[in-house]
Amino acid sequence: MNRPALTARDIRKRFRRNAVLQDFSLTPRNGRVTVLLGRNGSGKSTFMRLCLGLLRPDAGSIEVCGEDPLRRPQATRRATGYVPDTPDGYAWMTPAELYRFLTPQYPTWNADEELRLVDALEVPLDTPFRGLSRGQGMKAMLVAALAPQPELLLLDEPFAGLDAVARSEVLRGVIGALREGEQTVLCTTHDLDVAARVADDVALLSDGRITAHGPLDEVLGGDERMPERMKELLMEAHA
Amino acid sequence: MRTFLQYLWKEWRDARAIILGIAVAIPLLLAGAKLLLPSHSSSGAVFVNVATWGSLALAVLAFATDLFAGEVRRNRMRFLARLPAGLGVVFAAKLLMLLLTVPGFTLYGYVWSSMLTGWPELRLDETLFPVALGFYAVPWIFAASCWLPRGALAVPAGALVLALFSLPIYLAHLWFPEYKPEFVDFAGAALVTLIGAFFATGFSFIRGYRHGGGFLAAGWRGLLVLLVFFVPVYGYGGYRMQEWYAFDPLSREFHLEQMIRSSNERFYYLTGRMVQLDGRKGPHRMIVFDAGSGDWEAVGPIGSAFAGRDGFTSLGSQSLVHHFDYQSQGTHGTWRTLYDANEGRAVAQGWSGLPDERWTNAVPEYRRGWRRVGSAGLGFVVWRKRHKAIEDPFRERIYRVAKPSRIIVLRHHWILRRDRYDKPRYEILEPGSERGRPIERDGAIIHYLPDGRVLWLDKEDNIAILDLDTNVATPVEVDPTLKLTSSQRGGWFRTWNGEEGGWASLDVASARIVPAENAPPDFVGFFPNWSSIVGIARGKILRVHAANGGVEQIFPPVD
Repeated sequence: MNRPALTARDIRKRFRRNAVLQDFSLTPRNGRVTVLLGRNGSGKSTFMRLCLGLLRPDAGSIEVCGEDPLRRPQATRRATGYVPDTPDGYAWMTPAELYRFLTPQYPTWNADEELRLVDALEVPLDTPFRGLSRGQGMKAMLVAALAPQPELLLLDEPFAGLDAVARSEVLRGVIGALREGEQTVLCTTHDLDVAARVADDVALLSDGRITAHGPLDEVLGGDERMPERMKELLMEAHA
Repeated sequence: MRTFLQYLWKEWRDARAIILGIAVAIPLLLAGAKLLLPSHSSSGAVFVNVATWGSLALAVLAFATDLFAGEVRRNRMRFLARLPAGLGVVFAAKLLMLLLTVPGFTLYGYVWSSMLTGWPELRLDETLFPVALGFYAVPWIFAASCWLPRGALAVPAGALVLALFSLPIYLAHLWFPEYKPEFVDFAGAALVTLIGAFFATGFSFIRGYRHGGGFLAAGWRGLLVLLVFFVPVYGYGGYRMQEWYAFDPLSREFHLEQMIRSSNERFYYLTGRMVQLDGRKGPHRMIVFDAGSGDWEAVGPIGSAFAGRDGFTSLGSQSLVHHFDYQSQGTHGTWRTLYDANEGRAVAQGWSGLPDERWTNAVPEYRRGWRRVGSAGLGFVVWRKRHKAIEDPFRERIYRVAKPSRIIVLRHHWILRRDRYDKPRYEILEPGSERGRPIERDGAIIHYLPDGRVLWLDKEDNIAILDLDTNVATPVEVDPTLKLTSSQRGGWFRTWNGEEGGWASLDVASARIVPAENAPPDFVGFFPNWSSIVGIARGKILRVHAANGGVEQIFPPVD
């Protein structure tokens, strides 16, 4: 497959007077995990929503799996797995009910993959979401995003707000769930530790545009400079 | 389909507790009301109607107000919007849920209340109006719930939106109170606006929340769609109203229905209406037509009609006709305007509770102390207190008689009619006397000729011209192809040939009844005399001359 799973060109998006994205361009490498690093409110989630066709850009274009998410939202959403920063489904639903609810919407839904992921991530199938811990909920959402075997997986700060144990569990789940080289993953986070553990590539989002994009080592300056560079980025992220 | 069923299942799971709660609450509430209310309030059809309305209101509050607003309140819109199925299927599932629950629980309330009151007969009266209004309000509340963050506001907001869009209709009703739309127009407008409300809800929900929009984005889209549905309704309503008010008595669409003519044959008091090519009828309009000058004048309020016993009355110079304003009927009576028939002008007006017939038959004071009460041949029966009398216009006298109603006043003499064993017997009287010379002949007078003779119908249904002085009867020759009906006036006969029928006239000089070839078969409401017949045909006033069969249009006047 030669075409990129995701291409964003010269995206601009503003909310009233607040310009969130300006001349934003990004094409993650296929089959790699790209972490979009940026401060809170820098526009990472806005970009995710643009990719899903939930927002309309003021300028620029986005292609998801070769389709315009605004013109063909159903096709792009079927080819995209999305994990929000918090389980956003119905609290009364159990993961099993959620998967049954979603199955008809995804022609590529793979029940075997669903079972494999449920086992691997130890998702309690018959407990309503309101009874699950935050980490369990996120893992259940991860199964929902991966079971259709999407070409593109969007992880929108899935580790935010998790305590250390839960974050470690989810992180281990994500790393374990990804099939090497089969999915293009774009993960937004402001957590450098997460970035360092999952990223093949890193894209830095600052002032609404991508200021650096490349392999983790190159962007964060190699093994010698990485701790220092991470510290700088950490400072920037929490400024 | 599987996707839709999954969404429907989600709606059911979302509302399962509420559905079960209402299913239990309705019978309990109704049973409680039945126990606690006095028996006269809790029995019968009124209880059923109120309970039905209450169940409808409960279902509306539970579902119509919360199906959308609940999703917004619980921050589920992003989840629903990001799924491949999109928002269309969400709307379809919610709509079906609404259409199942609201009518379902209304029926449920009806069934329970009917069971508790012994299945009284369903009352289809004004007590059902709140139920009908409630059903009409459902889509508006449903729509408003999609445009607001709180479902609790949906009921007043739905009412407000409905009031806002109904305002032009209400103003039209206020400014044009005479206009009464036809039921089909009214029902059509209600149906279109109902569909519009559902369509606006769907469009605003699907498009408004699609790209991250909220209830405001949904709201303005919904209002815009409503406007798209309402503008044609306003336009069509305005067109129909304009069509209803259109009035051109000289146009082909104007059809006369009633005609009252003054005895001097100058003024015609006409009631007619515009009839469109598709058969739709406008309101009644009244015209006073001056046949002498050809001028006409529209009079009276729209929707009023000149009143007459059968709508085709000839009135003398002292007679007054009136119109009535049907809209004013009620406790105040009827607003009436009196016309001097021979002068063509209104002479009095006011409220009256008198029946219509009294105003055309009973005429005001004739001479000092005497009142006319009816006609007697060519004369009039009059009375003064308890004394009955005959007013003889040919001798210009009033003769006091015991039984004036049996006397027929003619130019040359009076005729007294007595009925014996259902057979009329006649006596020829000198004016003022009550006994006279009998006519020794079996049969009946069917008309009085101007020269003093009468038209006589014998037992064998032969018609003859009878000279009362000499008792000589001249047989009238009737064309054998003519089938005369019993209806005849002034020498004119209706004929019947099995299809449309027609007219024939009596030629007194030759004692023959000949067909009037040019007289329209649908001639209705006619004023015959010995030389011509005037009537309404195809919405116009036509005169057919007996002598040559020529047809002349009286109204609309032909230039």
